[in-house]
Formats: sequence, C-alpha cells, structure tokens
Amino acid sequence: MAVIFRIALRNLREHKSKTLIIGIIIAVGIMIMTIGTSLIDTATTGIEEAFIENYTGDILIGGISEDDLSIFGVQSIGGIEPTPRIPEYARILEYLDTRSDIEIYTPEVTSFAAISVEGQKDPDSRGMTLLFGIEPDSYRDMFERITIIEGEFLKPGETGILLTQSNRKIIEKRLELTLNVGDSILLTGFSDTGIKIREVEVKGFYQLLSETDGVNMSSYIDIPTLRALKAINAGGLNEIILDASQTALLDADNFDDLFSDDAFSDAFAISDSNAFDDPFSLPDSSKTEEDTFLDPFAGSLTQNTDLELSDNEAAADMSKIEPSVENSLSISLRNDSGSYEFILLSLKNQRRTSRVVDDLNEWFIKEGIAAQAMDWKGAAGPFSSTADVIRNIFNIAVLLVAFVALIIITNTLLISVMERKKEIGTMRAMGARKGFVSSMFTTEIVLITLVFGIIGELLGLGALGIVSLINIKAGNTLVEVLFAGPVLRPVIHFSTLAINLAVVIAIGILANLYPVFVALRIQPVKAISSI
Amino acid sequence: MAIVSLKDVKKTYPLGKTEVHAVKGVSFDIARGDFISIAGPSGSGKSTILNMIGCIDVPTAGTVELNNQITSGLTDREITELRHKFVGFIFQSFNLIPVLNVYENIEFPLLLGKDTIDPKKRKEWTDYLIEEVGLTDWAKHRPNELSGGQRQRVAIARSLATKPELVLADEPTANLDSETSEAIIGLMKKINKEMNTTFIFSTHDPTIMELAEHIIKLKDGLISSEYRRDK
Repeated sequence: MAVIFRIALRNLREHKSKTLIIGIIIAVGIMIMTIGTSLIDTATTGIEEAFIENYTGDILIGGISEDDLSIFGVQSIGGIEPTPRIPEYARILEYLDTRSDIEIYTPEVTSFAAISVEGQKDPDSRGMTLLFGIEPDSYRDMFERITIIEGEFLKPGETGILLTQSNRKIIEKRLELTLNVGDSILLTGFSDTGIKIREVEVKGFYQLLSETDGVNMSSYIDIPTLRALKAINAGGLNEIILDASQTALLDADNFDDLFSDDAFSDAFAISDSNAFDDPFSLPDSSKTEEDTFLDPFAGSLTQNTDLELSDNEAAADMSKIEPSVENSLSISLRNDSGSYEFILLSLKNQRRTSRVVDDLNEWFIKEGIAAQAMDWKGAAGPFSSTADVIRNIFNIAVLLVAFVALIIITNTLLISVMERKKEIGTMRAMGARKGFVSSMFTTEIVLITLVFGIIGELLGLGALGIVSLINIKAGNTLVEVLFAGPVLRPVIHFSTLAINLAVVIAIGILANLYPVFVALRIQPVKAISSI
Repeated sequence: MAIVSLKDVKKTYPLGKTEVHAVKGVSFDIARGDFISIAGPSGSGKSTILNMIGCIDVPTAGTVELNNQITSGLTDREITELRHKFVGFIFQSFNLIPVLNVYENIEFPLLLGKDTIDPKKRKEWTDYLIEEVGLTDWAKHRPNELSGGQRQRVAIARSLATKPELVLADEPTANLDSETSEAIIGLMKKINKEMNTTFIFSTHDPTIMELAEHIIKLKDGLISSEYRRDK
C-alpha cells in the first residue's frame, strides 16, 4: 500500500499541470458548495428556529387526517378541511407524563378569523388572523422567547386576544384606525355550523422570535373563545352521575316544566357552586380515581360561559347517555376528544426529536389511538418546504456543475492514463495485478480531491467569514428568517463540510472509473510495443 | 531439461482487412541456465516470440511451455502470477518507473506479489543487486538523472529482483553505444553464470549476437538457423 501511495503522490507532483487542472476544478466546486450549503443551512436553521421557537415546538401531536395535517389545519386540494381533534387526550397526556425526555407540553386549537372593529371607517373592511387557542401558563413556559411589546400575556381563565406587532400594523392600515390594549375587536369565525362572531378584548401585542410572512399574522386567544368561534364542544372525560332531583328534569312532561325557574333552581340547588358555571361538573365526592381524568389545562373551561355544543355533537353525546345505577344516570362524555386539536411538545434534547416522534407514533399504533406525531417540518406544513425548495434548486445547480466537472476531470484523467500506458504496461508485465493499477489511479484521485477539497473548503470558510464580518442586514422579515436573524451570520455545520468533501471525493472516484477501465484494458504487450 | 519449449508457434496480427503473419511456425527448446540470443532483422518476429515466452502475448497457434506448464488457457491472474515469479523483463527503452529512484525501481517487483517479504531481507537483496550492477552511489537518483547504460543496469537489477528463472531482454542494447552494449551483455552473462538464471535476449546487432552461447536466427517469422557455441 505504501508503494501505491508513494507512486500516486509522486505522479501528482510529476504531472503538475493535470493535477492543477483537476485540483482547481475541485477547489472551486467545493468552495461554491461550502458557501451555498452554509447559506442554505443558515436559512434552514432560521426557518427551523422560527417555527420551533414561535409555533410548533419540537414535536406536534395531532389527529389523523386523509390530507396533510399541519399546525395551520388540514390542507387538501379542495381547500381547508376540518382539523381532526385529538382522541383519547387524557391517555396521551398520561403517557407524555411518563416520558422523561419531554420538557413541557401545551395543548392548542388553531383557526382563522376575520377581524373588524365597531365604528371602523369602511364597514366592509376586514383584517385576518391566524388564531392559536392556547393555555396561557404552559404556552408561555414553552415559547418563552416571545416578547410582549405592549400589554400583558393572557392569564389562565382570562378571555382576550394578543396580536403580533406586524399584524397590528396591517390591521390598523386596513381598517384605518389605531389599535390599543383594552380595545375590543370582533372576530368572525367560520365553521361547519355557520358563522360565529365573538367580541374579545385586545390584551396585548407581541413580537415573535423571528417572523415568517403569512404566519406572522397570528394571534393568541383563549381556548374557550376559539372553541366557540369554531363551534367545538368541550368537556371532560368525567363520568357524570346525576342524582334523582337532577334526573327529574328529564322527566318533565312538557317544555314549560323543563325550563321553568323552579325546575332549574331545584335541579342545581344541591350541586356545588361550580355546577352553575359548568353544567357537567360534579361534586368531587361523586368521582372515582379510575373514571376521572384531571385535565391539567381544563381550569379555564369551567369559567367559560360561551361553550357550545353543535347540534350534531350534542345529539351524538346524548346518544351515549345510558343508565348506570338506580336513581342516577351515568353519562359518559367522551367529547373531550373534541377539545384540542394539537399538543405541542418541547424536548429536553432536540437531537432526540426523530426518535421521540417514532416512539410516539409506535405507541399510538400499539394503543389504537388515531393520533400522529410529527417534527417541526411536518408541523410547519408548506412553510417548511421553503428551505427545501432553495436546497433543491441549489442541489440541481450543483449537480449540473458536477456533471460538467465530471466530464472535464474524466478527460484529464484519460489523457493521463494514455500518457502512462508504458508505465502501466511495464507494471503489468512485472506482475502487477489489475487491482494494483486501479488502486494507484484511485489513490491519485482521492489525494487530489482530498487536498484540493480541503483547500476549497478553507477558501469557502474564508469567504463566509468575510460575509459575516461585513454585516449584511436583512431588509425584511422574510430575509430575516432566511438569515436566521437581522444580520447574516452564516451557519457552518462541520457535518456538512464533511459531507461536501465526501461528495467531491465520490465525484472524483466516479470521474476516475472510465479512465481506470481503460487503464485495465491496456495489455502489457501493447504498452511495450507502443514505446 | 527445457525451461522453455515452443511447439509450432504461430502468431498472426490483423491489419485492416489483411493479416500479418509475424511468426509462421517456430519450434525450439531452451535449457535451464542458457544464455541465448534470438537474432534477426527487424520484422523477423524476435520481439513477438519473446512476448509469447514472457506471457504478455498469446500465440495464434501452437503451444508455449514455461517450466513444463502450457501458458495458453491460464487466467489473467494466473498469468500475472507466473510472470511475477518466473520471468524477469529487460526492455529496449528501459521502462523504469520515472517517479521512483534506482533503489525503489529495483525493489518494486518485490512489492507486487501476494507473499510479503521481510523488509530487512528485501533491503539486503535490493542492496546486493544495486551493488552487483555497480550503482551503489546512484541508489537515490531518479531514472532521468542516469545515462542509458546506467538505466539499463537498473533494468537488469530489477529483472532479477524476484529471483526469476528466466530473464527476457528485448533488444537491451538497441539504445546504447557499442561499448556500453558489450558491458551490458557482459553483465548479463556474469549474472547468468553466478545465479544460473536463463537469459534470452533479442538483437539485430551481429556483434552482440556473437556474445551468446546459443543463437537462434530468424527470418520472416521462421527459424533460419540455430547453433550453440562452446561455453
């Protein structure tokens, strides 16, 4: 092996012009690759960071849908489809609690709504917003890098909305007014059951870590209000036992009796104080450990007065009412599966994302739960493809350049083989096997690509260093995401450098295949007689 | 006992639509330890016969036996192995590897075989060969720094590196002046005597030819005469 290396190295030195031709092609190629991949990595990191830190967390759990599900809902060819709700929410949370690799999780509901304000100049004008229905405490803990510019973040149980600063400006421009903390705005939501309008108070304005056009028109809203806008029913998985006086309501002979003041007050007179707020709540003593799931995020629900049951869902729920014990009814309300659309997870170690996603999906399948877990890319939907599109365009360009380089390198190596026919023939005559000859040429090309590849990468890193030093500023939010910050600071992954080097070496070996094939076909006699 | 045996060997090369009959049916035996010259004018088939004996070309008809082994039908790997162990080559244009120095060129064949040789023994043997051809002071020089005669000495030493039983030299003196030519043949003869290595060399120079003990003369692809001198 030492002799192969020695001959290869000396041949490269001996044939300087050819070595330089191949070397320069490789150095320039890998320099472009280093710069290009670094800028793409920068954009990818920017987009990834923007989504993980602003919207999706490390992992999103959602229901199953035929079309692509993302944090923006289900997008099909026909438009936006209803977002599936997470089934067996309680079991999923119990499972998440058992995993030590999960830092925090928070539930979420997503929707879109039109924004208008009473008294606006043009009554037909509307702003738009992407609504994230959130549980304030856990959400704030998870997305702690979001900055409140004005006002305050939502408090548990509080109704209200927070708008992004950029959407505030858009709405102000469109509606020709000024929005302030404390103002009321009208949200118009669209659901299967029709249009819902809710008036909410603006609690504040916030700034995302970095903003992506389109997604930056998002708002945080309390979950009950959002459920109301989407006409989602809500409840707990509690088994509800009604006592005789409460079931008496159901025995009313006519509607007048059913809705009379007496009947209503009688029925709830013996319930605890929460019963009035939540018609399905029960005294604690009636619950058992087995059939009670304490939703850690349900606190806000009990204070909500706008909860609704859509007709269909209400009918479905009523059909589940079945007798359980004498003088009581056991109402199994499994409608909590309709309460949340997503659970966002933040991991202790982001490098385990893929592993945890796989684990979760395996668990869902094993337990027969119609849910799915996905990383930020899946959760970001079409937005995550931005970097992929850029990377693909770059890769195609690199592929074209590599093809041209491949031809030039192949030709140069072929000339080298033809010039060294005598040497190859002599070696073969003396007993060199074909493997020896091919190893010699392969070692040469690997040495060239390795040395000039490293030179090219160093040049690329130098160029990136200069780019970093001259402080190229992002002109707008989109560029800011691509830059992964307000100033372009190219991201350099050593794994990418290693991959680039490996790719260039592979191209070199590929370019070497035909010349080696020709070299191996050289018969010793022809080499000697050609002298 | 013959170390080389040719039986009715023919070699035809295609040349466009016609064929060139380089060797038209040659038979002879070469004994172990022979110092033999294959002589004849250009185009008489000298080099073709040497190439077939050296297993770098195959006959169109007839058989070539090396050490009682018929060479036709062997695989590329077997032929390569046979060449490496049994045959040494000396070429008209020396054919040294330009990027290796004298020492490395002579050592080179020892690094090709599948059997590993102890580095110490390899060095001792290479040094001995360098000394034998009188190039001790030139061991670190590259071929382009040597004269024609010195280069051919390197080629002779290299041909002996694997201790072959047979050394083939195709016009080894063609690129040398007459004085150097005689010195080179003299060196080959000396090694022939000392190591009992069989030497077959081709030449068209009558003076050089006469230095051999066994002479085969060719003309138009056929043996025109064959005779032996007393040693």
